[in-house]
Amino acid sequence: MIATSLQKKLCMLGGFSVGKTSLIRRYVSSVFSDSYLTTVGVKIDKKTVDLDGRTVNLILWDLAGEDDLSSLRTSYLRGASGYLLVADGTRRSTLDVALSIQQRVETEFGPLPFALLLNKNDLKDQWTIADADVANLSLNGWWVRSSSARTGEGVEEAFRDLAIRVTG
Amino acid sequence: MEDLPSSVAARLRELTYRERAAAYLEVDAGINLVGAGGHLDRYGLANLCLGEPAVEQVFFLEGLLPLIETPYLFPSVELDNGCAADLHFHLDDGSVWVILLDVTDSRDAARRMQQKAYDVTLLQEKEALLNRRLEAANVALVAAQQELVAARDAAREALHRKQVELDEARTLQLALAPPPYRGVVGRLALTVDVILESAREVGGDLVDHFLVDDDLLVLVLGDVSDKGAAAALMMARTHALFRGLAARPDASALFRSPEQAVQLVNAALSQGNSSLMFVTLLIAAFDGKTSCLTYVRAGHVPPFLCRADCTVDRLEAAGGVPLGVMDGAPYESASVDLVPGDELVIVTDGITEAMDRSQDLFGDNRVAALMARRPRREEPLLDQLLAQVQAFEAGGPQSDDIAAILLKLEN
Repeated sequence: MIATSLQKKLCMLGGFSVGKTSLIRRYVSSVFSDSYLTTVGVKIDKKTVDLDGRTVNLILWDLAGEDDLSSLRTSYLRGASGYLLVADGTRRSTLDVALSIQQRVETEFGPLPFALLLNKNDLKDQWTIADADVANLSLNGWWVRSSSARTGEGVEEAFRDLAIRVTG
Repeated sequence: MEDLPSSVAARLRELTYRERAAAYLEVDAGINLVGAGGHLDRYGLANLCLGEPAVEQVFFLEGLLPLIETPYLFPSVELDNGCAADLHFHLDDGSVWVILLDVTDSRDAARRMQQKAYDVTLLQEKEALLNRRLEAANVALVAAQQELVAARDAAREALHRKQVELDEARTLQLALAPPPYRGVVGRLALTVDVILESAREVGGDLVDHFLVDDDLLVLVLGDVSDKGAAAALMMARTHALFRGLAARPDASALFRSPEQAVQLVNAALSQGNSSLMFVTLLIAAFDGKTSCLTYVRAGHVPPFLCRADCTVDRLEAAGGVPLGVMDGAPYESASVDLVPGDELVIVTDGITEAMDRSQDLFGDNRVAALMARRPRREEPLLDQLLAQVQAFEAGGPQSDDIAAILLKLEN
């Protein structure tokens, strides 16, 4: 007899090379690699977490990044309980991509819980996203967090926050 | 498939089932796994339990069941064992069927292509960012350069204005030095020559001579501490004070006892002298009726007196402190009789302390020697003295203001 446990599907969305796969590797395996390996299609990982005594399986769908030629395949989001939008703080254009993706997801799937991660916070000296942009998003009710897959800063907290919200 | 020749159908089955590692799952309406087969081990699904909940065993099914669209495809899904599969969902006879076909090779090929494209794009983005930063830096540099040019032009303009002002001040200062005098004072014919050369545009040396009555010639030579504009103003003030005394009704008495004139000027200069500037000064009053020269030496270089027989004496008496140092300082005068043929030279330390490249001083002896044994007596003495000093400095910058007065009693 297989015991049933709570499972939630979470998706990682964002432009290419913003660090989605690295964030999951940091979260699931506590490792980071400087070598960039692009994701094709989707990569699925599983992480079991304890949320205040409840064991929850997070099924993490790491979707290929969006670029000029291939837009997000929203079909992968079917059945998702929430998602993390990821932007690269050193590339202002990736914030615009994240905003665009959020609008399309909300149009197709309704208001799912999500958070915006401004990744690569370890490269703060190369930051191109203005504080005013972040402040405006926060004013609109967005959960905006800084993160670094390289150092691990903000990674655990981001997944945990979202997991709590989707299991609420 | 039944339309196909058996060989083709067999090959297709081979291609699909064996080479693409086909596997399937069957899930019933209760979301229980009721069937599974094919190359399940390829996808890490070897140990499935039929009749048990499907989602707990095949976690990628989370959220996808019950199926709301059929058939449905999730292309290129990488499972946790690294294998990539196309997941084909369809509904048939109450069961959801999931067919897995291995696409790892094509995924890897696509990844290589995609990787190169992204690398190029990232490079282009970095290049664009770098260009924008360079552009911004260039704009800032151009702005900074324009500010520097404007500041430089303003500084040049200000410098030019100051230069014009200094030139005007120099002209005015030189105008304070009187022209040579040739005439009779009392019963004696005499000449007075002067030189005044400032180390800068304006200087602190004071040269003056004037008559008080018909028989009293007053010579004044001063040297203000420091050089430049402040010294020039102090010099002009001292000059004005003596000229003011000369205009007084009691000028004759004042300058016949020149220590009185010196005391008055010292009192004026000492008041409010917060910058502690001072003036060394030699004032000499020559009485043409008695041939007596009465002088006061306020911290100044002793004058040189060359007699007609070419012996040179120094007038070292009547010493006192420089003007402006101490209000109420006492001053005394001393006197010496002159005869026709005598030459009196009063200099500032710009002459005696002129330095050559070895830091040696021109000194008093060279002045005395020139007066006693000058080779070309037809040439003006002060011109020769100045030429010797300049030659001694060997073309270097003049270190101090230079001033001198020559009084010569004609035979």
